[in-house]
Amino acid sequence: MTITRRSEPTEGRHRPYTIGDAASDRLPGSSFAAGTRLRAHVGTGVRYILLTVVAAMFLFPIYWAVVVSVDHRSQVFTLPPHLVPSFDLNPIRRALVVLPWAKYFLNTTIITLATIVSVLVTGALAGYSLALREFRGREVLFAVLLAALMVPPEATLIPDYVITARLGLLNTLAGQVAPVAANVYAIFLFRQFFKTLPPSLWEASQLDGVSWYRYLSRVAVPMARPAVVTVTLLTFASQWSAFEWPLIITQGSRARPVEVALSFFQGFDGTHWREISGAALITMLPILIVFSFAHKYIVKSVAGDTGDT
Amino acid sequence: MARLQIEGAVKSFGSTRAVDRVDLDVADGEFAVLLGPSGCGKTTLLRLVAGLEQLEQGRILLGGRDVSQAAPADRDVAMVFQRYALYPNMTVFENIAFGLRARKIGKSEVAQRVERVAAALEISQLLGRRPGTLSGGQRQRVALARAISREPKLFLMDEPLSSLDTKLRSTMRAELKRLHHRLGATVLYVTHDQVEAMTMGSKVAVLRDGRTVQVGSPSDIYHRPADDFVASFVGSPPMNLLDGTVVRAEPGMVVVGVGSASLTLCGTDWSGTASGMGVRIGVRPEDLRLGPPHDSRHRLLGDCTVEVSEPMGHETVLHVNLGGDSLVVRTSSDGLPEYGEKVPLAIDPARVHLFDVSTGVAVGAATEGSVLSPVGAAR
Ligand SMILES: Nc1ncnc2c1ncn2[C@@H]1O[C@H](COP(=O)(O)OP(=O)(O)O)[C@@H](O)[C@H]1O
Ligand SMILES: [Mg+2]
Repeated sequence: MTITRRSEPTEGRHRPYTIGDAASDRLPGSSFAAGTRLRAHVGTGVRYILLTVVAAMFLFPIYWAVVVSVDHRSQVFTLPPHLVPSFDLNPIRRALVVLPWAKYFLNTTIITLATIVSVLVTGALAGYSLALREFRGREVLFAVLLAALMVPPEATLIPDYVITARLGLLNTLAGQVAPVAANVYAIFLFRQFFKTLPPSLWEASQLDGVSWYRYLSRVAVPMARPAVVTVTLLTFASQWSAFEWPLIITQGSRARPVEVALSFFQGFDGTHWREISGAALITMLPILIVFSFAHKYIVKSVAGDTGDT
Repeated sequence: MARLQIEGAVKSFGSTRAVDRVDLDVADGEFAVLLGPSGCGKTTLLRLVAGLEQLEQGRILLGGRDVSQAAPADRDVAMVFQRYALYPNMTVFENIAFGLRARKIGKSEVAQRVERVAAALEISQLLGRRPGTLSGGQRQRVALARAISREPKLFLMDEPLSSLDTKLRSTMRAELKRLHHRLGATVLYVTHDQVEAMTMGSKVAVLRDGRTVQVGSPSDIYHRPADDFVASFVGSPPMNLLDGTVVRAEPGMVVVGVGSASLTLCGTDWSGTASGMGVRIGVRPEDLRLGPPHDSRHRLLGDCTVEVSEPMGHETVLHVNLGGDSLVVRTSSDGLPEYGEKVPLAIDPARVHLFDVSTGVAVGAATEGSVLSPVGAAR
């Protein structure tokens, strides 16, 4: 970001027609200037207070989960709420041993990574075709893809299940990747990004005899890094926390992801709040770690800044 | 290296004919320049040769082989793009090597070629940097290096110097020329800058509205412009054009009335003229002179008023008014008249061009022995 300095006071003096306007109001030592500075400080203060409040609102549930997971059973439901817990680590210990967490984590990791790779590859390939290849019906195809975005996921749940079942993919890892292996949003993002690349890059490659996939893998995709990062993060977030679909198609620990495993503590005998909170905190850790490394890119992609970094 | 032949090339975009029946023959090792104003179809013609656009009619031969239907990669041409088109995510080395690797050249051979070309263009120390960190002139060199390393049959260059500053541009002009001499490469070079065209090309093709108006040596283009468009486009400041009328046309001689003067022009062929015909009289700024004629070449044209003076150091360009017509005169920088001063204006009649006023086509150029005779009240 560049900071543009507004006109200097001396400049204001050299320009008679600006007397009385903002330029000359900022003469050094004028009380008005001091007032502006004070207001700027107050503004910054207010902003930080607001930010702190918002941050607290987002952090509190996490903190609350910590409190619940380590508090004594009797204190979890007391009113007013118990904000400073007593440290009883037994529930977490119980939660850790009662289920094969390593297996669940492995399942989730495989599903998430496979989906990310698949969404990136399909997104880049389809985005490239829709952006740079000329073929009949290209725009129609693109419109159809966009229209698919408007179909609510609930509407495809049963067809998805039927197809997955017929493919014999129930209770498998693949069955959790396949329905989301390609993503219209990713295709759209890559298409838009490839369209903004100078056409001369593609043309220079063509003249050099560079094949399209080499151009795609060595030039277009590396240059579309913001798109790659955005798609990766969004896919990571949605697959890591996927719940409904894996809950429907998995049983036991064979292909079940960690998020669904949490529901083990919601049984017929009620919800084991302390165990579920402790386990939820553990499953959340990877997300927190990834996002703390990638928050710069997340902010950029949400703000629509696709500039190269 | 190879000879390039363009035969009857046509290309339209919608209803615009960007390239309209262009013929061009570039000999092996020749530096040919496509010159023309913006939008005249230079880039399109270049892209047709590269294979980035498809010909509608006509054909293109490279080294005698018809490449009209060949894919860009199979034409063995290298292009230097206007905005360089360097891959921003690769280092300079990778930028140059990328195309070589695609051509299945061995790893050590690639490295050797990159080093060699980089040394020739004095960019060896930049090989590890990315294009984003380079200056315009450096990027230009990298783009050139990339093209040269390919050792193609033909180089295509689309206004490669247009985004450089004036000083760098003249340095690079000389450098490109040196490079061309050394490589002996066939080059098709596009520019809208007539200085580049004149200084670099051994052949210049002037394009207008998708057509070649004139193809010739720089000297041909300058001294024997085919029409008033070429005449005013080539040369800086441009040729003066005055309207006049043919008073008398005879084989080998024509008399033209312009303002209050009449020019008797001798030349080889005035067959395009007829008595009473409207003509445009073209005279270059250096063929006009201020002050009373003091040699046998120049003849008095009339008195003019100095309107603007542009001192350049080694010379001064004066804008003068002669009976309502604005003319540009190039003079040496000493003993200049003041603004508003009335001074005699002399012309070298042997350097006068005549163009048909309706078509713009040249109807002949004067030669030695042309005479100007002032006729007091001709108009
Ligand atoms: N891809 C295109 N689509 C439509 N019109 C084009 C395209 N490329 C060039 N043109 C048109 O063709 C004409 C010639 O363009 P161009 O070859 O770029 O001219 P130049 O390089 O001489 O400035 C112009 O009128 C331009 O608008
Ligand atoms: Mg152009």
